[in-house]
Amino acid sequence: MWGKIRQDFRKFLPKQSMQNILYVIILTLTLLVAVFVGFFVSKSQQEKQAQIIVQDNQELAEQINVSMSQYLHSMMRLSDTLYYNIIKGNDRGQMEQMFQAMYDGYKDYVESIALFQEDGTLLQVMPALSSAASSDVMQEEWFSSALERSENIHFFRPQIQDCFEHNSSFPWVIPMSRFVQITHGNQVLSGVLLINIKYSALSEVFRNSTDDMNQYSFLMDSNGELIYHPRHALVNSGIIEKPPETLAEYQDGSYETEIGKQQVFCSVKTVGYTGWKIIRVIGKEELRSYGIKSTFFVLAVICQVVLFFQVVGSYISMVLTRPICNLEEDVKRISAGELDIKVHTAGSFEVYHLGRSIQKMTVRIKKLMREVIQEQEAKRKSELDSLQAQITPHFLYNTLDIVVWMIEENRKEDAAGMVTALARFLRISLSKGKNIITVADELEHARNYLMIQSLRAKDQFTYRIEKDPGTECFQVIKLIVQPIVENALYHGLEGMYGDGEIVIHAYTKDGDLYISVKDNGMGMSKEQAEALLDYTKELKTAKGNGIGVRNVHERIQLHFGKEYGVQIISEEDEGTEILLHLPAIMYGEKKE
Amino acid sequence: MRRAKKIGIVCVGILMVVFMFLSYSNLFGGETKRDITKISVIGIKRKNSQVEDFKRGIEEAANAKRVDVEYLEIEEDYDTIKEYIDREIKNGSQALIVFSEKEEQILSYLQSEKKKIPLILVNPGGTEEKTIRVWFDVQDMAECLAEKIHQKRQEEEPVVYLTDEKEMSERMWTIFQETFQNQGIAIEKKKMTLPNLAKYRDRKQQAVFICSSPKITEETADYLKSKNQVIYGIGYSDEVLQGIREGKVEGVMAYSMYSFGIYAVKSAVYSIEGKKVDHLTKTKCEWITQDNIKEKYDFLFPIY
Repeated sequence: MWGKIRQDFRKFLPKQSMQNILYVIILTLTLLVAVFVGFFVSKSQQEKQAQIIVQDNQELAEQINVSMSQYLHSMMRLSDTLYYNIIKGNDRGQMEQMFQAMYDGYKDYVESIALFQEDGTLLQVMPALSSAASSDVMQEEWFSSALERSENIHFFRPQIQDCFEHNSSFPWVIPMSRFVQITHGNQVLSGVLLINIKYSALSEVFRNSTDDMNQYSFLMDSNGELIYHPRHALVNSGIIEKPPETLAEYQDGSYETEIGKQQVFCSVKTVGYTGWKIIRVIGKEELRSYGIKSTFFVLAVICQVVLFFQVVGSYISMVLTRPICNLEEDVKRISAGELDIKVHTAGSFEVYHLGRSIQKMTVRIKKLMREVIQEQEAKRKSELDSLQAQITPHFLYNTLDIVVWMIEENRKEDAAGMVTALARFLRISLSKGKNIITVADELEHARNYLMIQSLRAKDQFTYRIEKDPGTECFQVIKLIVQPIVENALYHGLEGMYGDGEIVIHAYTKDGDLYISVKDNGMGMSKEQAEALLDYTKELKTAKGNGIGVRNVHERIQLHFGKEYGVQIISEEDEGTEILLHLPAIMYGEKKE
Repeated sequence: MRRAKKIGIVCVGILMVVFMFLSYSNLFGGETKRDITKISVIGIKRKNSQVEDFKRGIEEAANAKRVDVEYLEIEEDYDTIKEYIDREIKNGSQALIVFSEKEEQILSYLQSEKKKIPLILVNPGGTEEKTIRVWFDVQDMAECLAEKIHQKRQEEEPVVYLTDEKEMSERMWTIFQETFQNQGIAIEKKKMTLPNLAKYRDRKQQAVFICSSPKITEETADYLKSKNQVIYGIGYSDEVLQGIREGKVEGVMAYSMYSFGIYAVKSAVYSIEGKKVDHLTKTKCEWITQDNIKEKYDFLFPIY
């Protein structure tokens, strides 16, 4: 499996540019790192956020506790003032005005203040209300508790205060009671001081905190009975589930619990003196939503990072690979033969040195190629020399053959003439070592040769040498006409006695020089003519192998190029014309 | 590859925007956007603790459901109601809660004007299921009251249903009459007038009165001070409760106006959201007497 993946990857790699591979690598690494880091950041963020929220909840509970304690303490101070400054120090009959003054000072927080005698008789009440006929205060919990535990101030759950005849509706109050001793003349009577704290005033303490269905605060007494709830009436009417009484048993701190069907985090704070519990609630759903939001935020940040690295990665990969791409382009051009280009050498150390090396390599290749060309030229020259060297012995052999034949025939004068012509012939042949001579010299050379041959053949053929005016000064390669003439004599005019004719004509056409060697001999077939110039075929005739014509052809092409050379125009029994095609270059000028 | 890069950048960009949006939106919890912008409550222009309880119920339910409620107090005459309905619909109200007896007129008006808006009526209604209604179970209340009367009443004592001849009282009378007859208790209807009451006060024979509204209960209790007469009430007020404490009133079937407010808003919200809402949402009734009045304070005086 792994091997196959590696194999596929190796196949895939060469199809992709280095820039793309680099880009994908940068992007993949960024993505991996971003996801990895994002996962842990998100997780820790969520935990931290949950901690912060729970902590905030706890702090809020503490703040409410501070407000609540201040509020209750002010009520307790009121109670103390009433008892120690008014009730204890004054006679029953003198209290009314003082009660009135105290009530007026606290009427925003207090519904009513009342003083009862131990037997339930109402001694004082502010505002002025009459005792409800139906009520029996001695049955009330706040009354009995005050008498039973005389040392304490007692707080009770909210209740409708129906001890007095109210003008309008019965208000919800939080009764606060204490045992008091009342001075009445010389007597000291026991009694109960009742302060009915307005429920609405208590609500105000809680209303300042955030309050919705997911975050709210409530207050319960040590028995788990609700004292304040933002939706108290809904709880009482059963529309909202009542918080479990067990919450009252919790110590101060944060807890995970359930209220109704809702999973919540509760921060519990105990109110000093009363033992009431302030419970600040935050729904787990709320925390979950914070968590989801924070996860989305982290995902958005990951996307930002990935986006950034997509752009940066693209740029970096482009910057890093551009020198290599340039080099690749350069190498392509070099391989196409453009050795003169300047190789790009920008980029990193390695790429720079690679470029330099390629540049050096190009220079080296150029040098080597020049050397090869020089070697080739030298080789060509040597080949030309070699071809020319083949001609001279060939001619000498033939001429000497004729001289020998003349001496054998006792034709001493002819032989002398022949040797003279040969001398002139050789002088031109040598030409002081030059390979290039004028057309005039070359034709003169051919004339000497024909003279030698006509002496030998005793007027068996006639010859004519013509040249157009101006052609004599053009340059030709030495000894290219004579081998052709020789071939015409030996092969073209073979078997012809007296009526054989050779015409040599030098002329220019279309800016080129042509030297035509024409005979009226037996001619040859087209195949034979083509075979004469085909290097792949070996020619075998009765008197030679055509080496002379082919040598001339090769020499012309080697010297002047492939567009020049020998053309053979021949028809059987009609004759043959060998046409030497050369560039028309004046002697002394250099060929281009 | 260049195209793939571009597509990649665009895709990541889109994802980034989407995640950013989600991180700031409340699609996955938290405080949701208020889709219901306005519910109008057309209530009766009265100043008493019962109306205050109704308003408070409306307010608490609106807070719990996160909806905005416009509370309008008007005189209960058809033209004014019609005018306010028109105005509220025009002002973008998405549901109407109407505390009125003019049910038939309101419904026919909405139908004739082709105004399609959820209408929640707070009244006992008839048997028709023309709209959504919030009220207590009158049948259940009648049965309960018949049982209580049956336990205490002497055979020869007449049972009198005192009515103010308003639509609500008349509708309840129909149900009471049928229920009492089924229980074998003879019941008669009398209009609440002092001369009518005087006849009973002057008689030595004891009678049982069922007062169809708190006001009638108050007036009857005030007028019939004789212990020979037994007064039962439907609904309560502070004066009625005082009457119970003092023994002037035997007992009342108390219904919670606070609950009416709560359930009316709940029904309105469900109607707007297209959820199934019962034709009649029945609220709880409590039997209040001198013996249990203290225990029922939570019900009688919603704490807020």
